[in-house]
Amino acid sequence: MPVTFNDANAPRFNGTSVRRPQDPPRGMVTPPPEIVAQVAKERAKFPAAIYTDAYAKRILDDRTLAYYYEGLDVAYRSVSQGVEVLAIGVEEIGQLVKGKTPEELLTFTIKEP
Amino acid sequence: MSRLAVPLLYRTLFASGDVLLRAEVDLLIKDDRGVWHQETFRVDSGAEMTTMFAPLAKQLGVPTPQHAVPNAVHAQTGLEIRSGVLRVQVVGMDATEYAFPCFFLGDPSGPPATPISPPAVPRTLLGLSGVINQLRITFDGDAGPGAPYGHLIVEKK
Repeated sequence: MPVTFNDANAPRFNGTSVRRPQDPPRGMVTPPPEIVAQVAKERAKFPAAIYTDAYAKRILDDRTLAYYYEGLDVAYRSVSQGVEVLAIGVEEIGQLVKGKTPEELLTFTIKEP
Repeated sequence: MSRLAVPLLYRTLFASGDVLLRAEVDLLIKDDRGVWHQETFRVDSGAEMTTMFAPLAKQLGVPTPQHAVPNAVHAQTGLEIRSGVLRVQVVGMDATEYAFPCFFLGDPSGPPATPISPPAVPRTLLGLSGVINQLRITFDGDAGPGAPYGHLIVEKK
């Protein structure tokens, strides 16, 4: 099993660590400014050829999902501005997949940030 | 041979500044209609068995055993386990379909465990049993283009 660490200093907590599936944002979600700043600071430590734009985007998506949805299952797709969140929690995900064609189902990913 | 190199992800622990690495891989999971769903799994060399949250599996139509394994629970969460199989493809590799043994965690029909207080114990893990006899999985910490902390390498055996 993975060893994980609770980071109570992370900006996402903002005084509370309890979240419900109905709380976090849905739809287009852009990276929080503090996440953008943090990733830019970390990226500056590496040559541009190593910490590429594509990798920075992947990390921004990952941090954005963790910021809002840690501990929840989420269906999302990566878009240029951030992530598009389609469903949060298993019940919403179940509703999302109903009636979708096989092709449509492969346009998003389910993840537990 | 089909081979996939996935950049390792990382986060910085705000409390200490330490960099924490992890590896993830996207799998296509086949449901009971033969339709694929894409889900991200954390690759965990310390996990004895692949795991997935049973209520999510049910919502996706992934077949799960009817009965829980008696006298056994998932130690980290206390959830009951159902011993089944995940039929998957690895995104980014060839179309080989693998059957991985999987412990489905919790009651598939049970209410979702909400609200959730982070950090929840990750439930979507790619473990060792029944996987590494089909896939060679390597963690390579050498930095490269697009991978400051190295790669997860997945190869078909």
